[in-house]
Amino acid sequence: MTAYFVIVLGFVTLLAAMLAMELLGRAGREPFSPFARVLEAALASRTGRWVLWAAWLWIGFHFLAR
Amino acid sequence: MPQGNDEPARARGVGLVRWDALIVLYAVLAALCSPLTAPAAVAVLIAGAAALVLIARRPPRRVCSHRVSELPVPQRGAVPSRRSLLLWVLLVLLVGCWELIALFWGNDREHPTLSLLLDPILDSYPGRLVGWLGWLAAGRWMVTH
Repeated sequence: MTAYFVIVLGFVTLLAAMLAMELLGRAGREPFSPFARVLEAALASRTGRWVLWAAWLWIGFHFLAR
Repeated sequence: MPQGNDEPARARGVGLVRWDALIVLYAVLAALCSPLTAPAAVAVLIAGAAALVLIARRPPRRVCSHRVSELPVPQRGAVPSRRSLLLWVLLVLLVGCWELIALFWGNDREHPTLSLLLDPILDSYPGRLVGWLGWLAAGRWMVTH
């Protein structure tokens, strides 16, 4: 098992877990919530807005500009 | 038939379409900038500054102050439970930690970070366009919620 395989497997597992949580949240299964609901809760506070803005900007800079 | 009530909604709809058209146009132009260049960085910073202004001008929406268990069942889905919040925070942190592990393990072809894995996609114009559209759509969602 190569390091490449381990790293990619880790990312795929985490993304699959996120997808599963999203689907369970959309299906209304407790205690899961869709990611958008969590973000909306974060956006309801001023601090949460700035944190999400900073995270969004970092993602754009990291993947699209660097 | 009263038609005056439809006017504000129609005006809002036209406004949203204009924003969407602007976002698509911006993505089409910004995707022309290759990564690791100053124009790409400037394009991200301009969009970031615009979002900053919009966020600063919009007051945060009030959220329901009731506990989830106190809400009627149809409203429970609107407020995420503490456990679901913790689960999402945990998963996002795990992705961040995994990214850091890949970064410090090597950050090369054998030990790729998420950005290295996405490089083949973002190196082409269509891939970059999709990336820009997704990023700007997320920003639009953020400033309108």
